[in-house]
Amino acid sequence: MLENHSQQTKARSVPLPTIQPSSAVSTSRVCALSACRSGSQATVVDIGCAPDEACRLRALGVCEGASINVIDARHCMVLDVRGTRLALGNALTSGITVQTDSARS
Amino acid sequence: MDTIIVLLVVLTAVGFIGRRIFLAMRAARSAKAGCADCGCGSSGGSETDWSKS
Amino acid sequence: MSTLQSPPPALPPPPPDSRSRPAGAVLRVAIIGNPNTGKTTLFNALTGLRQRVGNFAGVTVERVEGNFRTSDGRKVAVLDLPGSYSLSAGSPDEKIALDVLLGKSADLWHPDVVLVVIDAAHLERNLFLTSQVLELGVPVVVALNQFDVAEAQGIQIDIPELAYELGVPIVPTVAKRSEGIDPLVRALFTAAALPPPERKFALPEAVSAALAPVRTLLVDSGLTPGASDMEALRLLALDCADAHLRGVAGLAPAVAEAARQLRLAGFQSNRFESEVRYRWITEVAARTVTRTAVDTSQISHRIDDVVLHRVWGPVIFLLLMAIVFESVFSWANPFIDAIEKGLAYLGQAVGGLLPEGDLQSLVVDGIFGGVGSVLVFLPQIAILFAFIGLLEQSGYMARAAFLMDRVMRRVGLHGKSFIPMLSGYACAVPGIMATRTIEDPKDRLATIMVVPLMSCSARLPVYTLLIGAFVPAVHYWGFVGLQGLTMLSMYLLGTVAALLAAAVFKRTLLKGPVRPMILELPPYRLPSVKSLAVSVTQRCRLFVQRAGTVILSLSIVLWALATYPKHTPDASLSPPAQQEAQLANSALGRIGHAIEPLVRPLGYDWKIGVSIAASFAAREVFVSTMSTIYGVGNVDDDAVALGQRLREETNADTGKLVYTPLVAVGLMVFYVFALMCMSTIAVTVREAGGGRIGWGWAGLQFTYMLVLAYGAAWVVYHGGLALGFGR
Repeated sequence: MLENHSQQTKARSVPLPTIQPSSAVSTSRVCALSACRSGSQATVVDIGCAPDEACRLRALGVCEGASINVIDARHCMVLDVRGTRLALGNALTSGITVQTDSARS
Repeated sequence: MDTIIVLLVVLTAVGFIGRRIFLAMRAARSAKAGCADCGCGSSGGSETDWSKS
Repeated sequence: MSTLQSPPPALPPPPPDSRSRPAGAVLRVAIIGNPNTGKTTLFNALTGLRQRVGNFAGVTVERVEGNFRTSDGRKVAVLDLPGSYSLSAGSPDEKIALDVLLGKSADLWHPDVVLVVIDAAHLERNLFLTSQVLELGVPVVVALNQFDVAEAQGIQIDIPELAYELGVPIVPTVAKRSEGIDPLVRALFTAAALPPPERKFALPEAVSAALAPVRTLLVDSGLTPGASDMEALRLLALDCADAHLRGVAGLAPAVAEAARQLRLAGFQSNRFESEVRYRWITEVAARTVTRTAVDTSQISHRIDDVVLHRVWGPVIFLLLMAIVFESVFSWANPFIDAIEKGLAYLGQAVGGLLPEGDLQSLVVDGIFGGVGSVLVFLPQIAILFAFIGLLEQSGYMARAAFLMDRVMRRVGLHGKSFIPMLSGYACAVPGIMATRTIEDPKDRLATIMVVPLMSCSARLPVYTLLIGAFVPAVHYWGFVGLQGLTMLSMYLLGTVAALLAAAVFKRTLLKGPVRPMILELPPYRLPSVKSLAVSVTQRCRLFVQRAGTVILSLSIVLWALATYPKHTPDASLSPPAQQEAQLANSALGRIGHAIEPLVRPLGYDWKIGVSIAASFAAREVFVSTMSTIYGVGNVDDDAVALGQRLREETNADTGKLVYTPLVAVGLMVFYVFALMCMSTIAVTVREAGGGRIGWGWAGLQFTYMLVLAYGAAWVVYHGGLALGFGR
């Protein structure tokens, strides 16, 4: 019951990806997030921003493997990540590499 | 009698203003001071929470 | 809503450990959570208005603490930690939260329980912070807040399963309706007596081995084993030059070595923590969250389509602002009239009880005249704050910041600088304090320097008095009033000036690149009427308090200066002229005449001059000083409104009207630009760095604004004269 939860719940072993970008991803569909169009969907491959900005992005849910919906692709993009709407400036979106899903406008 | 009352009231007011100035200067010096020390008409709080990202 | 808070009766009592507290001790609860989860609403629901706002020692982060008693008399102290997306300590806010939770806070406030507030509609993202908090070695309770919103969106959460996954009590709550509060409080006490939770996922062997030396170093530095595990994982992502790594000797090289070993094992050190946590989070979500309805309705998104539109967005924004100002002017009028009449009646009644003389004059002219003239603006203040609160709570403010980002960037500022500037419309002091969310020090300083140009609520009495007296109450197209438009123009003038001043600062003294924008756009929500009412009431209360203390004292002092020294009346003059002579010979009059040469180029007489001088302490004092001066000089018993007196005032020498619309506009322009607030200066000194640096920046701020004020008022007055106005 409740009191014993802390002791009883065993730490799960979580399988982790060892990301090898060159082999796993077809280069023709990889681009910067800033190049994506409104309405497209993409998966984050790499976050190439300054460390503290990257940290912030990851805490917000924008991390490698996350799926993004591009709501509005203007200079400052509006995205949907894990159900959260974010506005990201161009300096950031041009540093984020994504793999676009099949074209969907 | 009236004059005494007037004098007392005015001195109290002067004292109060002096104290306010002193508190404001002290608040300016230390980072410990909070919203209330500055005598403004507003409370702080997490209303700026939405700009935290 | 099912909750897990009552222990089954058959269990033995929990073993005594260091966590058991003596009966009657205060339970200390720290509340943490993502921004926009309703954390503060929950805090308010728990503590009511029993809160104290202060600062964390040594840093400019706000500290909000409250307390309450349970129904059986146990006392609980609650500390509302700043909203954080993670404990990665990128900002002073997050660092403070981490220090408190690790028990390292300078004021030694150690929580007995941590309450993590989660937005039930955004479980996955919220669990990132939660997963970090769970490892700290302190008991945790999770409040699944905004549960009603989640249900409405068709999100179903298996609470018992989630409690099993997290290993802590989970209580669903709807903070804005105060639902779930009692079970939550019971859960807090239960959790405090239990052993703390632990990390819920296992790291690969290679990673644990690589992190072991880092962990040892952290344990030796005083952290608990669990917290050391959390920190070790977190530090992997940080740059080796980061300040946090310099705290413990040998930590930076140890972390660098651990990162190197991780890379050898095929992992990326900078993203490892987020990968492993989100993997766990995804699994937990898969097991506990089901969506019964496909979320297509999404009213929020539809609203955004319009509000964020390239063309309609800014139009809607300006329209909203225009509505706010128009309503501040017209809706408040009946209330203003009522207060005016009430105060006038009260003043006369009290005055009638006193014999003729100085005391009567002090009470009627100094106190009632002075303070009353400021109090009448309470309805306008209330409406203004209500609208600002409405925009904030509904979620529109984030969109406004997004829309303004483009404009902000042109002047070299961040879109987030817009928020402090908008707060500046209410009061520059919280606006300047809100700049703490701006990370770049140059951006922050530039914003601080220009926030006071945003027309704060203290200017409202000045604008209203002058507009009410000199701008005709004409309406165009049935609803757009000239008075409201004039008010809007003053506000726009301040805004444009602020942007231009920021552009100048960012190109000269504070040159530097602008940080990229990261902003969450929270879902729109109907503001809680109760919460709005509470916040507006608090602000009104503070306004009245300020009027009753600072303004009252200043009014009394000014009355004294206007009444003494006494001047023997020349019996040959008419009573009004006698009063004028008395005024001119009083201390205030002498000061006024002395500084009159300074203000005559702007078209003002000594009375305006001395009122301006007096209002450098607090702007509202302009109105109360004028009120006192005209009350002191006025022999009539009729309570003639100040506005009317201004319109009729003629210069004794030339016979011309002293106040023309041109003078009034010039005066308003002066007030748009001048920095006249002791509180603002004090806060600027502190937030700009304190000490000599702080005073330097505050001095610069005061000077440039004064120069701007004088120059602009001069241009308006003489330009207007040249164009033929004001004759």
